[in-house]
Amino acid sequence: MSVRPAAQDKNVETLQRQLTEANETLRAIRRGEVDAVVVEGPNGNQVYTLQTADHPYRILVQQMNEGALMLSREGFVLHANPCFGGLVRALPENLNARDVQPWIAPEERGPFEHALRLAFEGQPQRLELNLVPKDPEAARVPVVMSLAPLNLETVDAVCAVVTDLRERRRRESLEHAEWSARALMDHATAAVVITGRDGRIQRANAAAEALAGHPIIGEHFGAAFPLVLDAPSTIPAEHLKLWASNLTQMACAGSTYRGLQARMKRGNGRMVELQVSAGPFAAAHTDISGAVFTLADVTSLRNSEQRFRALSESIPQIVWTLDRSGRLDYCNSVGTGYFGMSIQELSANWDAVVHPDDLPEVQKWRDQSVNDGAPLHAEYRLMSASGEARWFLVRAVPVRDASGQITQWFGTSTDVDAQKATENDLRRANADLEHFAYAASHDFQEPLRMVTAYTQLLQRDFDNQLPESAGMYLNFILEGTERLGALLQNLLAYMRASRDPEAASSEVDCNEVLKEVIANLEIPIQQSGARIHAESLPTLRCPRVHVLELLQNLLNNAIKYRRQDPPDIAVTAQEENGEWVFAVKDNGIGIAPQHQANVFDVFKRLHGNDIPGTGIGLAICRRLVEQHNGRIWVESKVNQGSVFYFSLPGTAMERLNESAGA
Amino acid sequence: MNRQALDVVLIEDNSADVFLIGQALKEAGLIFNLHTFKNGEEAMTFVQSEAASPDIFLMDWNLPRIHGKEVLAAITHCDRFLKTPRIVLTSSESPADREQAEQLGAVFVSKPRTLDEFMQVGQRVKSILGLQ
Repeated sequence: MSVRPAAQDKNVETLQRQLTEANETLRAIRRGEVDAVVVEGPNGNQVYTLQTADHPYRILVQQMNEGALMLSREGFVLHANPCFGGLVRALPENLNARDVQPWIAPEERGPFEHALRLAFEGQPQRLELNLVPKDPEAARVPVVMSLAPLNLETVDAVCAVVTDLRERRRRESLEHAEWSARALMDHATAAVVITGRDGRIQRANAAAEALAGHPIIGEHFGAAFPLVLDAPSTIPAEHLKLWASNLTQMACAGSTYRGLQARMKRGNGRMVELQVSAGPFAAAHTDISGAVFTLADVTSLRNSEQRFRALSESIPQIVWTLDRSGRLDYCNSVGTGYFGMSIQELSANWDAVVHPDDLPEVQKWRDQSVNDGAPLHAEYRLMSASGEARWFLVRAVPVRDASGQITQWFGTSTDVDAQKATENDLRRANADLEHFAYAASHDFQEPLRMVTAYTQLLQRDFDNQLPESAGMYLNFILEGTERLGALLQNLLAYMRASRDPEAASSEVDCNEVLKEVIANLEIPIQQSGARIHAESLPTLRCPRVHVLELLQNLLNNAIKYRRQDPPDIAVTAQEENGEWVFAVKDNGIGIAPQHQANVFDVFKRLHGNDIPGTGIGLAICRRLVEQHNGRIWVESKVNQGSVFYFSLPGTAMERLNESAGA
Repeated sequence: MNRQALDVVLIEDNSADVFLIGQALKEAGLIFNLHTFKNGEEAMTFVQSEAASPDIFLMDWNLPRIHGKEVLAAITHCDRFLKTPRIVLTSSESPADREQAEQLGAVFVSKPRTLDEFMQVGQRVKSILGLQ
């Protein structure tokens, strides 16, 4: 084996230097000058030392305000400076030759290992980590760690510089707070002003300068904003004067005022209505350094409120508002006049103005609706100042904010006493009239019966003794009595159509009823050759006799008022808006437009005696339908036919179908 | 055939009806003495007298002075008339009236509107008396 001299020289040189270094290292270790560490590695014990750790650098590293680490490939600490030790609250010498990972938050150890590996491959790394101090009480420390490869003679190592982020974070959050505050101030529509203890304006937002009409920094608050406070009734006027001039001092002394009503004459001479708040200003953790004011222009708001008040005063109804808890907070003068109480008195005595009999209902509504917001629509009696109980129609609706919360109630009370009395009179008069008609039609039967019986007796017993003309007269008398009898019968039927409260509602299958009607009309149907078509009809909850009477009357008419051809009649029913609309369609003589409106009137007959009838059938129909809050109407063309429609409530039907479907 | 004349009590304020009812009974072939009372008061006096023992009562319902209902009740509650038929002949068509009359043991007949129907009342009386 031959060795070239040059190479040999180099080997000798290296060995000599290593020897010098070893000596140097041993000397430094002996002197306690740091930085040579024996680590038990995979290749046996190894001595690590910082070859370039010249003294000034070492001092720098030791003294600098950033954490510094030297890390082995395995992540062991070769060197840690005091600053890093401070971050993890451990002595630096206790860190040496230890795994660094326990000081890193567990969830970040993976990324750290990865970064370390890359750094050893020669790629500098930078990552944010949280250090976990030794003291379990201490909070984690957010840091940025920069990892850079270092050239070491013996082995390679990575240098880590660790920057404490806590201070930066604090600064950032402070800056953020300042920006937020500034943004808030700048975007506020209200004027915001901060003064020093001397009352001079230190800060003001754009709205404040716009309100003052000129730059105001440095100016006295009172000079920039010459406020005149409005007097709420509770505050004596002399206090207000004092306040206006001393608001700054009083705010600086720690007093807070909210919602002060004030006026101010602006530079352009126009008055503005303001709502003013004032209070002490203290920067965080310091003593009161001045006062902070907000001034909101409520001119338009107050104008609209004035308009509302003016409006509420101009109408004859009682207008009132309740707060969200149901307490009266406004009532117009119609109300205070009627009750003879001020708003405050009314608010305290609201129950006392309601008639005792109606009070439970009112209280029930109030208890419920304060929560569920159900509007009020009721009639009850309110007691006037003179003790008179008058009927009022009372309505109230909730006012809600954007989130749906009730903020207020608006109510009106309309005096309906006169109307109610008239209604009662009318009802009584109607009842009287009905009673009279009922009794009359009944009592008329009695003499009529007599006339009939004795005329017939005359006819029977003396027919052959009377001249022919007398026989004719007797016939006319009998025809008249017969007709009067029929009219009275129908009038009674018409009266019964509304007088019959016992007509019990039941579930009525209208198809069955129609079958019965067709059976009842068997003779006219046969004689006329009528054809009757029917679609499937609903089942309704109402008195069966009413449906029967309706269908029978309409079908009877459809047959009676026919043309030459046999009647063609269709009976259908459709559900529309919660009610059932029946239609009876014929091909009969029809009704001229001018008569269509009054065919439903009592004793209205369009055909004289050409077609027999008493003119009561359709009137009965209307009366029956209206009893069920339904309607009846006709569409017709002369010589083409008519369609009679009537509606009956159909809600019960749905319930019925549901239970039937189960 | 009972040849003796029947004692018929007729309580009716309307003389036209009195005549018609009499006629109807005649035409039915009945032989009878008609005792007529014009109002409820007269009828009550008769009913309460010991002498009264008619074969049948025919009476109106809406009677003056004392209502037919009370007269009928007096008749019904009198032992002597336990087996005496009672017919209420009235223009009332009220179901309530009918019910009351029937509860007091009477036959309730609505007054007919035509002569022919009226004459049927005679036959009705005959059959109630068991004479047919």
